[in-house]
Amino acid sequence: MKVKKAGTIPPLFRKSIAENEFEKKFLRYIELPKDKELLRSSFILQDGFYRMNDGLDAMALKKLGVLAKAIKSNRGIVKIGPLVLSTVFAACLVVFGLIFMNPLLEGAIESGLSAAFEARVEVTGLRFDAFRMRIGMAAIKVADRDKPLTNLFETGRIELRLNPSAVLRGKVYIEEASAASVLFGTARAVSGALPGYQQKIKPTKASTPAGAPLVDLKNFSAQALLEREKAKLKSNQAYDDAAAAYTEAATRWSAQRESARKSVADLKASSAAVLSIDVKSLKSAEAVSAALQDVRAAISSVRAVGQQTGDVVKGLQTDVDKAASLEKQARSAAADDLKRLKSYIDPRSGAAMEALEPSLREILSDSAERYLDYGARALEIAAKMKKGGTKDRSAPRAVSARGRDIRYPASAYPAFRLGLFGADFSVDGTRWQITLKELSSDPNLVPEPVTLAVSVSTASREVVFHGVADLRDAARDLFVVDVTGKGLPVDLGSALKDVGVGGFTGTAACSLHGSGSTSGSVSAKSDIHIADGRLLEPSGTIAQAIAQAMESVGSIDVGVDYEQEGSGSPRFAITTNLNSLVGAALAATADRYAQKAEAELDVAFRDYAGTELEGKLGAKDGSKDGATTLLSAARGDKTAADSLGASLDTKRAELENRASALAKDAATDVLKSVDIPTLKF
Amino acid sequence: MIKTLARTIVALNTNVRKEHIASGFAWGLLLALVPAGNLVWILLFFISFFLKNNQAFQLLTIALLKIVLPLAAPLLDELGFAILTMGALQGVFTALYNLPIAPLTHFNNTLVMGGLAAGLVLWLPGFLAIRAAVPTYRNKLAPRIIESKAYRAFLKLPLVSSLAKAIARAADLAGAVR
Repeated sequence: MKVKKAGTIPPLFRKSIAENEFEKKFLRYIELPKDKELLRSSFILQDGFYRMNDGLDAMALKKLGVLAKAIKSNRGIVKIGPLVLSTVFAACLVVFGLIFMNPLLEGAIESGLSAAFEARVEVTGLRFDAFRMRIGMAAIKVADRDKPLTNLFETGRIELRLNPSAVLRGKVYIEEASAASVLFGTARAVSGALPGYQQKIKPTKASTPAGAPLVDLKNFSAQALLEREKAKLKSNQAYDDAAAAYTEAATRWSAQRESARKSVADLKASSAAVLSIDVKSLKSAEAVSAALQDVRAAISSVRAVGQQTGDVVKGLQTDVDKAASLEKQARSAAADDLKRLKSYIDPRSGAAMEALEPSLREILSDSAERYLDYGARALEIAAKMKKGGTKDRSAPRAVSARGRDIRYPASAYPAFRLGLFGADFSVDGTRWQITLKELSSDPNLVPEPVTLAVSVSTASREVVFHGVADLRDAARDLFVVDVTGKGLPVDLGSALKDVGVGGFTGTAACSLHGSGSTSGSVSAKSDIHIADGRLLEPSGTIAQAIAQAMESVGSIDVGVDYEQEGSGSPRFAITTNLNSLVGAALAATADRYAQKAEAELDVAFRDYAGTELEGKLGAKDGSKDGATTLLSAARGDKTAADSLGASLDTKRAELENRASALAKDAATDVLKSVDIPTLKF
Repeated sequence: MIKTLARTIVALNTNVRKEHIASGFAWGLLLALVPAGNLVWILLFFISFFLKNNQAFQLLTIALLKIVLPLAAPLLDELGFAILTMGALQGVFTALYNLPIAPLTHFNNTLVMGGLAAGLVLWLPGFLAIRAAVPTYRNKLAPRIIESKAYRAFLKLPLVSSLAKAIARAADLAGAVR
């Protein structure tokens, strides 16, 4: 502030001041007593008015100038300066907004979408019209989190119409959105991966066992079929298991049996002296007693060895029984294998379907997987939005630097809502029509579930998709999907070459109905009708028969049922009219070829079973013979120990009898030697 | 910061109204307690900006309280949570939540509500306390300080001397040199 020029009276004090006003409007605004006194002393009261004292020096006038400024600044409540300043500031803000708002909004949309899709998002050419509440964008590219060098989708020009009332509530409600084009799976030059977001690794598919072959009955070779299928025969493994069980039994008990045999032999040698005692030659009680002690000791040893040999026999018997049971199962598996091989040459057995099913399943699941991926990502993002939009009011009570947001029932608008999105465009002669309705962060506040309708059509074909995802709390079905298609070209390429078919072409019409519940179960049912089906380069009788049947009938019907309960493994079933087609085509010739082939196969398999399979059990080391021989030997040891025990028991009885006889004799001799006095009466 | 401190000392030792100083402190307290970055804070700041309270005192209060505020955050959070979940006020808050503009105030944040409530409650006591303290300082404490030997020695310290110069400059600018 500038200081008043010395010697001049401040303008505030030039006029006379009424006595009552002097206190109210001047003195009252001076805070320091000293300054109050100065002001008072600078005025003279005349006729009820205060007038400036004429004799004031320059210093006093200077101080009065300062006081005049203090009085002015202390008066009033509102400051005019800041008011002007803030008006200028607001104008600057408007200018700043006009220049920088679009890039800022672009960045905000990019970061919001990046968080939702967990991948890089590029928004270009954004223009926001604040008065009409419209947003236009030249393009949006959203990278695929799981394939960073591919875009999940890419749009052409987009126009959005916002609801002003929602914007004033801090919500985003896009009433209507339209896109000039939407392309899926386009390539990216730069990776779209974002740090902090992991790619979702898809579980590697478990390799499915190869299907049954389609047999050429005309040029049938039983040996060739057997050789080709040998690795898949169950009996092969079953015989291996039985042989291994015998080997294990022999190996486990071999050492113990040897030990038992040695014990029996030692016992025989040690008991020989005791058993050779001539009982009658023992004349004294002491000799008998000593012999008896030796016999009893030998009996005790024999019992211990008997127990040992018994344990070996019992254990070995159990293991041999187990191996024998496996051997029985192996023989049964061999019978099953033969039956199965025979089914390959019976065209009415369902082998044709069995052969084609793994390939068909692979083809169907591969093509379905691409679209299921999009569906799963869409559901994931919708669920994520819902989770973020309806935070529980009883949020965790940990205090963060930003506090906690308490959510109240918002009857009007969820945090984000897309009322309607529409796109109708053509790419390379294919017309795309996409309509998405009611996508929101809080589905409970929206009267309808999310609906997606996609129609892709050309002059000759059409696919119509209609999906409803209900993320509201009261919903029973999580999603319901209906797809219909017609005029769809089918070309399986070389997918069926393993079963002797060079290719397959046709035109399909299909319908699919799928649904998923909130409990996690998913089911889908699809009917596919393939017209003008043609098998290319069919090799073998059955493949040729299918080819002929297709040409005559002209169509194939395929039914697919898919079910998954919770986290359990999915059930996938395919039904076709192929088997009946093949059966009919081969009715005349099948029996003739099949009977001959069956006989050949019978011989070849029996030969294989007799030599290769049974040979597994007959191998010298650790074979069935080894185990059974060991069991017989162990039984012999047990018999020997038992026999020795019986001999020793007999010897012990003899010795006890001898001891008894000697005692009796001794008693008689004593009585004889006693001189009994004669009584005289 | 030194300039703000200098302007505060000038305000205390010149004819700036005690009500303006007290009001500056009370507004500073309120603005410090409410977290910035929402419509409530912006609104409060603009109101205080247009009123004739002492801006230097307001800024100094905000700066000092912001340093120690994290210590009071749990208390403010609890207070805000208690208010926002009070049964009797649910209808009011729900209606407010659904009004245009109101959600932009972030009133439903525990720290905003806790800070606002504490700030409003403490505004008047803070105003009255400072209003009473300023004359006491001016009439009793300031003359004693100025006359004390310790103050004179203190003024000779290099940092304080630069501060004193800043005060003098501020006072010159304000045209309030005594």
